[in-house]
Amino acid sequence: MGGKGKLLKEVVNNLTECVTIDYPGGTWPGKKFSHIVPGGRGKHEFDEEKCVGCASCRNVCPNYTISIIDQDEKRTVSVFLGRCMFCGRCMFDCPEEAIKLTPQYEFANTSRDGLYIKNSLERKKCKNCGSYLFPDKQLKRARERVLAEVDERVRDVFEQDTKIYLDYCSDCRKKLGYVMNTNTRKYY
Amino acid sequence: MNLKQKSRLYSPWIFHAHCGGCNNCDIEVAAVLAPRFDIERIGMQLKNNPRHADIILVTGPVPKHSAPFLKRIYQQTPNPKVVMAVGGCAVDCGPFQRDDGKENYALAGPTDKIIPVDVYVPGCPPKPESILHGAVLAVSKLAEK
Repeated sequence: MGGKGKLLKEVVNNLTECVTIDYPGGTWPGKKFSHIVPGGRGKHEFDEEKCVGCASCRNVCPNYTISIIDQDEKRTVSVFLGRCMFCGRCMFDCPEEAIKLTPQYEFANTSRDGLYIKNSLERKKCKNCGSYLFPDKQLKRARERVLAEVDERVRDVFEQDTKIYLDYCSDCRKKLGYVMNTNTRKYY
Repeated sequence: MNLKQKSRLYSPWIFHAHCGGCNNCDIEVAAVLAPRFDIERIGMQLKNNPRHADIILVTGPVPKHSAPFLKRIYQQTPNPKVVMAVGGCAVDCGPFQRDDGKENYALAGPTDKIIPVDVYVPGCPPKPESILHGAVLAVSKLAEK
């Protein structure tokens, strides 16, 4: 079929069938209409089990959409939809694949507060001074990652040391370095 | 609800105020008015006079030179009126906002600094269906007023 035939077919289709899409997306006699496209980029969604609060999504965001708020016990990762341009870089660069853009598009709201999507994590407390450190999950995950790549000869030593080190903040680690009874640098 | 209010809900007319956007949101608004996403099924029509309109549709980050015009348009529209901020720029200045909290020298801030906004439609640009969803919200907001 040539170009003219296609055009004729299109004209006949437009004259006989209704072009308007149903709202909210549903079925029209003889045809199905759905607004939701697989792979379309829309509302954000956190996988709360996977997210470690590492802030790599914040660093990569071109519009400064994602902000990280550290309050005493909690670290909150919050996405403000109003400023987002749905480029999906946070989804591609997340090391844990925790943040995702779902194809859902209906996020118009009557108030500004309804445009925030939040995920909060618990932070670890320093054993000595009581100040708050990184989220507990992030420290655990970082340790796992380093242990997987460290040399086999020092892996056991490294495992023992990090167990002690990660309970303290960086200042207390320097102060109590002599007391903590860990292996010295020569092993590494 | 008297007859006047009821008839207003079935034909809310739109005035489109373009305030310094990149034209992308405006293209999507044009798509909403076209037959595929037909907004006229809820009685909405585009009017080019704010005195005839019930809903003001703002796109763009509102630069300083167009802020007084937006204010005047808001005053010209008869009560009750609803303001829709369409697109990331109108909601929160989008990519033009600075990250360090200082003000951009060219902008008079997002729309809700200048006039009260009732419905926020985020997206860069928002999908036509998303604007349609916002329009339905705006009509329900108009019913409350």
